[in-house]
Amino acid sequence: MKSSIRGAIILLAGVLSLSSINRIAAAQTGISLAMVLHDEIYVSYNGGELAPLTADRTAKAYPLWSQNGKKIAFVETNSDITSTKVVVIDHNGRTLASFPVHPGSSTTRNVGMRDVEGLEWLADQNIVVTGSINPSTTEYDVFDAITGRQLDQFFDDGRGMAFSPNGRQYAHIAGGPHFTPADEQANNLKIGHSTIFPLDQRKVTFLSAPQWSADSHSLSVFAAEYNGNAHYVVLWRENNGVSLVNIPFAADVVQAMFWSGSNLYLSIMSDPPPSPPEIWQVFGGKTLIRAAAAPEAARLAASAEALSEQMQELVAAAGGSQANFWCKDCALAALPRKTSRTD
Amino acid sequence: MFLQLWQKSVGKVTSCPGYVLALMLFAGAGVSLSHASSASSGPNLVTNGGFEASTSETTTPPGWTNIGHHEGVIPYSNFPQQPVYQGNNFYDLGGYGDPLGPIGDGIEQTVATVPGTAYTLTFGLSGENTGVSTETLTVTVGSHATNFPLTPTGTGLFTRPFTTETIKYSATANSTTISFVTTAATNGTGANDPLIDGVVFSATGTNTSAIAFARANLTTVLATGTPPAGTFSLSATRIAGSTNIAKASFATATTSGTNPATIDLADPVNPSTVGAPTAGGLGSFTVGYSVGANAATKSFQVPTFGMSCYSTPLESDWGSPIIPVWGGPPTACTPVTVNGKVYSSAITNPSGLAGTYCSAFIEEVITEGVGTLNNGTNVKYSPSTTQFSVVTSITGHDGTPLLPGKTVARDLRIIPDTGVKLSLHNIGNGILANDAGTAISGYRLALYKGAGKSVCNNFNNQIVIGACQPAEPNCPGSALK
Repeated sequence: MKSSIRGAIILLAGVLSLSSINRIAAAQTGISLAMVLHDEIYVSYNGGELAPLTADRTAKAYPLWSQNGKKIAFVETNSDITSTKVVVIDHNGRTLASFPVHPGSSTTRNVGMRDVEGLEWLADQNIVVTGSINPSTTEYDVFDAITGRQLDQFFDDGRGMAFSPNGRQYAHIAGGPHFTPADEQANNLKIGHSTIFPLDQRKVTFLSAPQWSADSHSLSVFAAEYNGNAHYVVLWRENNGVSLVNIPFAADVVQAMFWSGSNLYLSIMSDPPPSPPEIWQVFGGKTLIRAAAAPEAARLAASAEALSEQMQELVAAAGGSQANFWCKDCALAALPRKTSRTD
Repeated sequence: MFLQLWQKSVGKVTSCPGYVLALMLFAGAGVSLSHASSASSGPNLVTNGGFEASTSETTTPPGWTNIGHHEGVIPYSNFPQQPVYQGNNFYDLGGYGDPLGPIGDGIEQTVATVPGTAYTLTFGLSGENTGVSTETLTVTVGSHATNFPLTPTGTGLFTRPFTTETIKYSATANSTTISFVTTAATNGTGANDPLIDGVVFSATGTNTSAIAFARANLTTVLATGTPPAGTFSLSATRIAGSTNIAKASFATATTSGTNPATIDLADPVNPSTVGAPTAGGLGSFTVGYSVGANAATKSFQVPTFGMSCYSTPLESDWGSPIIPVWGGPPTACTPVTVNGKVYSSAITNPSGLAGTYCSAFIEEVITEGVGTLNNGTNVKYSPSTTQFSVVTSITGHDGTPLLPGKTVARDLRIIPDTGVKLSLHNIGNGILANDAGTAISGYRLALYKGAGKSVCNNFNNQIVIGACQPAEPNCPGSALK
């Protein structure tokens, strides 16, 4: 897999060095590229010519392939959120759906997000539109991708909403509004609109965003006692509820938490850096055991992120922006179907 | 010069020992024998600059590091019609290792240098000289690149005499990398690939030129070069953040003889004129100043910030309580549809707060933590006690009051300290960075404008030049870093 990733970068770089925007190629067999160029959505299949799918000169953002690679969602941006729309097209540019994010009328107060800041597909059926309403609080609106009907709405306090891979469940941290001092917060983990932890009066601080397992049956989040020393992984399993896995390391050495299949792993900063991090696996839902190496899924995800970033830079160098890639079996398939304006 | 003339006249390659002997004989008499040594006073810092240390035609010459495809040296004897520059061999950036000589091929070498010292690079340059393609050799010393386009002269393969090229450089670090790379070709590579020989890089003495900066205002920098009558240059690179760094250019009234030179800084073009804000970045702007053989370079950094606006909830944005015709306290509000949900109920005396309010407003105060009543009173909600209470001010991340138009939220990775005030082009000065949140990431700032959605109407999400006071490592101040 590594050699094919390298090949993709080299081939794409070579094409771009010709300074011909029309010859930007996704390069690796099976990759579809969508990007914004001159306010229009352009696509390229299998490294072929770039072709426009829109031509209405309306500013656009966040082109995003659906999970099956048959649809592209994007946002038609406007200086006023009431005129901002989500549009879904097929691979020929035919409009499948177009609906307003925050429709305006005499009895509608658009007091939520000021701008759309991201899109995410949920299992090809629904689309999530996100936008912040203050420096922390972010609004998540879930829409039916065909009818445009708003199905749900959430406000996350800053850690980020986590949608399960099957698109059916949502998890986020609540109870810590942006303008509320830490000592007055009552942070809690929610799945949907229901709190699952803590269910008692304990006061906790969440140190990460919730993360779903690939099978959507488990959820984890890193947490600590407020003003205390104990920190743990809050582990939720669909059939067993919540358990706490105590972490025998200092909180600041836990670099990352990731799922591989139904197994949960922690990446622990080794001593002294820059030695490779230690990988520990949550065993039996209660304890940690040292793992020999990071699971293949984690390495693939890291490779996919790196590849995506490099391809974004190449597209940007050629004048395009907000490139989104889709493939069925290549390394990039490890990336979630979401996009946002990056820093 | 003698040596080359002699070589030409006898029509054969001079042996290396003979060349060395000639140098030994004439150098003490102050006679310049070599093209490469004419502008230099110190020893040659380049290893194997004459490409004489090996004979392999496919292996990278000793002392050099390969870039792209591998090449070796080529003896002049292989092409008797090629005028000799010096020694037995030259280097072809498209030789036997890879005759097609693709763009991106070359060699490089890193040498020890002393910051502030002036150096001169000289080398012989020629081309294979056939075909119709103009190929460009880019020679980079440190971060300074110079292009040498080579167009075939029409005299045929390996007939073009070498010319001596000179690049002056003032070192900025303890080591400097010198590279020779083919970077462009008008009609393909392979027939007119660059040839180099006699590479010399040596100190020409302590640099006597210097540059001083003064910041006239947020968007104007004065660069003063000494001694006078020099020539300025200007370049920009991104240090951190996005590529949306400030634009820098010499003022139109500035000519090559103008000293000090006025450098105008301009906000970058916002790639997204509508919609969500785009982040700025930290740019480094390098000014060069050359006076005769001396050259100085000096850089300053300027950040830009992608701006957005935020507000806090205002009661009147969320409907108005309806007084029943039969009297009594309101039990309903004007229906308000927010993101598909209709709010029409009213709440009287919610925990800790007297009066009747629209439920939509109360919901919003719970969501964000604060709100402002129609009479201007600020209220907060405590999730831990589920109580509302009146507060004298709304505070941000740092615990100090948010002031409309006078405070911003920042990314703590960019501005980690408290009490930092910003000057922001076209927005204002003395703006306190006292709020923060995960939605503000990178070179982004959100300007607090007060209570109510309307305060952010017509606020353009622009990208502006900024300066921090006091300066932060990632946010330089007005006193140029």
